[in-house]
Amino acid sequence: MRHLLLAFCLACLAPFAAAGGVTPTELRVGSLQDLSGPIAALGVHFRNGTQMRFDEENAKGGVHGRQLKLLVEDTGYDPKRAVLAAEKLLGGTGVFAVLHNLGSPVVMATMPRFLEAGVLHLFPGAPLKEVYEPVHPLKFGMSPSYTQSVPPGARHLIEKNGFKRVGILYQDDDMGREVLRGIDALLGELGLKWCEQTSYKRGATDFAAQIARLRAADCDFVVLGTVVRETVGAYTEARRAGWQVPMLVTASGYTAQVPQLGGAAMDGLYAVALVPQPDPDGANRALADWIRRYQEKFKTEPNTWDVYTWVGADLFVRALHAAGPQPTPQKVAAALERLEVARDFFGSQPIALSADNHLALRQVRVAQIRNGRWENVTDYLPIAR
Amino acid sequence: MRRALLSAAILALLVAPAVLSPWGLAQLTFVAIYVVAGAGLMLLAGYAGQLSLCHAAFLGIGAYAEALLQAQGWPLAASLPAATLLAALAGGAAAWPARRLAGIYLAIATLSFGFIVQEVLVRWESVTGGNGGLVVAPLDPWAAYGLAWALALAALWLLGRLLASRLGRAFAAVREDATAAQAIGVAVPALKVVAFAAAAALAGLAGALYAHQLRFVSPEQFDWVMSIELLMMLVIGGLGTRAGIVLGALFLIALPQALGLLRDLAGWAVPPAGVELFAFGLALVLTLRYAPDGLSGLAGRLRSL
Repeated sequence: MRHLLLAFCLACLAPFAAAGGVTPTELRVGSLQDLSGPIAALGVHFRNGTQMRFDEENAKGGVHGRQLKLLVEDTGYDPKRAVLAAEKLLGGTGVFAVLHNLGSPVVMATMPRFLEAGVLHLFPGAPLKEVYEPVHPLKFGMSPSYTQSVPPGARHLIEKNGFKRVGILYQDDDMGREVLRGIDALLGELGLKWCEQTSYKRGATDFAAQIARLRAADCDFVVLGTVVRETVGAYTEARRAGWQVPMLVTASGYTAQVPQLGGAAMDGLYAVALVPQPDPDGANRALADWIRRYQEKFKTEPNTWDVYTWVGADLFVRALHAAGPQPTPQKVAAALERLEVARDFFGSQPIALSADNHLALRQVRVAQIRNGRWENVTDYLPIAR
Repeated sequence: MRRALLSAAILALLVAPAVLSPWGLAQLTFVAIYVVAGAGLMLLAGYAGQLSLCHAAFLGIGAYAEALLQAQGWPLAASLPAATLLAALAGGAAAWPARRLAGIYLAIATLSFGFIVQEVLVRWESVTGGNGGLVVAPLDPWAAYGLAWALALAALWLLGRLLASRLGRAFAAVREDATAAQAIGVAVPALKVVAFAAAAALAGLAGALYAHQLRFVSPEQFDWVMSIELLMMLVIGGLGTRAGIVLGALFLIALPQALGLLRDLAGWAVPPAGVELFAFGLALVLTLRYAPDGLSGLAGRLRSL
């Protein structure tokens, strides 16, 4: 009984407690990144893009007089270390929100901890439905699952070119199988049958057997459920063998690294794209200036993941402004739900969050490598349900 | 001297929850979990001299069993022993074909077993949730801390009792010379199966605690890297001593935190790639070169200076 009474008193007090991570001069935001593990190449850009947006805001005097402080913890893609890092962020003065936590196992192990502590869980780098559905007042997602994002691109190419014999090469893990599931549903809708399915183990470097199999089945269109290196390996293998079949890769393959690694042989590859490449060629003034500032700050070239996280940080900053001088996670969440953002200077898709939509990117675009550069083939298409 | 040290350590563990932040408490809980798993592996690798490259698989079996049983509504008092037993059975099963193997053949056999378990966890989607993993209910952080350390100390105590027994001497005989042990009447293959089952049981128990601590299990967590990590932990701590298990576990958990601190001090916005693996490797090489009996041996020698 005494416990119940105590719990009741605490529950009554909770709304009046100051939000964690906020002082009159500072607002602390956490981020769990992989800076030393298997996807550190991604983690570095996740951090840079976020930091870039925060620095821009801080240079203008911060939000309602508060400087935005980004606290990055390295998880090495290890959920055990992620759990410890989450406890570290939640301890002491705490954090107001976490932004762009990277890696599915990291996010799955830590998300409940942040939500229970009343911390906003924003735009993680994990293509999982769980990060935005079922709708929870404090969680918002950035990118749709592969099951949703690849089919619209495939549908566009199949319908436009009249492809009938669709094959797939996919990585034999959750990522690859999500692509498989999505395309499987799409073929059902289009009344088509699989021409061939073949897979590879993560880390494979030789795709001769898989490509030969797809070719023997006489596929006229191949979907690649691959990331970066395997995309290059599979595509160049087909071209080397003299097979000019059109191929479409996931948003993970939509990076400048792919034409860089594969060279001229990569020309013609299609990809679905969630956010644009920051390409200095043909950039508008604002983008050219952004790229120059990025290079000066981080001594490296920006890529699509910097844009991805810059856009996420931008949404957060806009919501913070809208939430007023005394922000609480609830106020900021409510502000996020009212946000409508038109295309920015990157050419990002328009974003409209609402009370029943906590997913930011709901459209994809088809892009193609032409003369070693990604070029847009379509405008934004809605994702699959 | 040893008694005083032990009492001091236990006293520190009792006081810790009162002074530590949730972050510190979570770290110490992880140390305890690794001590439980390490005690099993020490029995197998340190005392019976058998190499296991699939210990992460036993942890995984314990973790998944705990996740599934808890989801069925089993109480902790029933699910923990069940997870332990299941892992023990898996250990026995893994050892059965390997019971006449030694050296590199045993290493490969156990490595393969690890791959098989991971593959089953991925493929058996209707039960394990495949690569998507399973969500596990958390324990109260203080309860988890108390339970993990109680089990860790019990495991260490049991390990000590076992070594002093006839079975312990038989293990040592197998480690020193399997042929000679066989000649004096030790049933070597059967003994190997027992050692594997016992080691797997403790790993399974550790895995069950690990599942609660992480609140989420997925196949990729229990890969061969974790098996190697556990072996490195024992070598750095000191193969063959119980203090070595605790020191090794402390090292394993503290190293990433220490490197994080170093990162802040050095002002690296981004640490050089692979700095952690490098530090682990360096620690291992230095240990093998300058302190082949590990941190516990080093401590002993410093004391006798």
